Amino acid sequence: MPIISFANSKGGSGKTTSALLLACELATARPVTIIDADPRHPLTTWAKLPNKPRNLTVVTNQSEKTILDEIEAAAARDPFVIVDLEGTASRLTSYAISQSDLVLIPMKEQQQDALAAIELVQEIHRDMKAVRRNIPFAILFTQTKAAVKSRTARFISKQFHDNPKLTTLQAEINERDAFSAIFAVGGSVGTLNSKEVNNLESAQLNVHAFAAEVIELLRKTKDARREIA
Amino acid sequence: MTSGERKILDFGDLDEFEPRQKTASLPLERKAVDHAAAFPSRERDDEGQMNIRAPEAVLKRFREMAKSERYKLGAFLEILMNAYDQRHDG
Repeated sequence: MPIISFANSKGGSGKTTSALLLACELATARPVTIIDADPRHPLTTWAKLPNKPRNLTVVTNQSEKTILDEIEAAAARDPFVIVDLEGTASRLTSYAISQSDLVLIPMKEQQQDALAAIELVQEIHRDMKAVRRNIPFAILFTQTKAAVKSRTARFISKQFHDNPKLTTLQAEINERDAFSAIFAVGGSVGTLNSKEVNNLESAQLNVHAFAAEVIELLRKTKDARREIA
Repeated sequence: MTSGERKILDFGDLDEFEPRQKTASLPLERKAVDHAAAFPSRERDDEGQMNIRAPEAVLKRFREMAKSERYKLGAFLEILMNAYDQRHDG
């Protein structure tokens, strides 16, 4: 059932990487469709490399006009649908948000990403009004330093974590060799060779923690919907 | 939680998440989002324009019908043509 969109109108904020990491992790247990709505089609390119999980279907978005039908068809087929959106403020993003059970907003700990994330939160609120339902969303920090953070990074991160109106995931997608490697050699963090990739086990733990928190959030929002009903 | 802390994903329980049934409300939701969204369409504009010569009463009726349903004239024209096709097919 869950449709999870990864959205941020700023390019390079980590949407594609975090979407793929979650998709591959979920695909170890359940069928997943990932819709590649980035015009550069990075996931479609990745899918042509070896070791794509059998449970994972990659659908290439055709256009703004087709995105709703693509999401609907995927959601009728698979229990998990992940939408990797383009890095621009576009109507396609609004359409995908309107169908989502959870919108994840990946962002680096940088001012430009933060401003784009805030703009997206405002758009999510408009889309909620349009479809007359709550659309849960959460901030996901990406490309973070696993060890020591800079002063700016700490400042930006704190502002989001301290904001009571926002959900910010505790798990972060760290800057890791493994996350770059999957786009070069294919597969997931589970199929990479630890002799060829630095700190692979840490990367696997990182993805596991991220996926676990997303599942927890989906369960909470599912329970909340059931209580309202 | 940063990467160093392991939290096991309980995959067994993911069975609670099922595919969803298709709904008939997609066109309505698309329209609602079009009205509310501030994010603009980036699609290439493929719209054209044509003049229609017809009796004033027909033009007035067409405009009023479209306006009462809050459609643009072009969108309403397509709805009428689709309805005509359906009746023709049926």
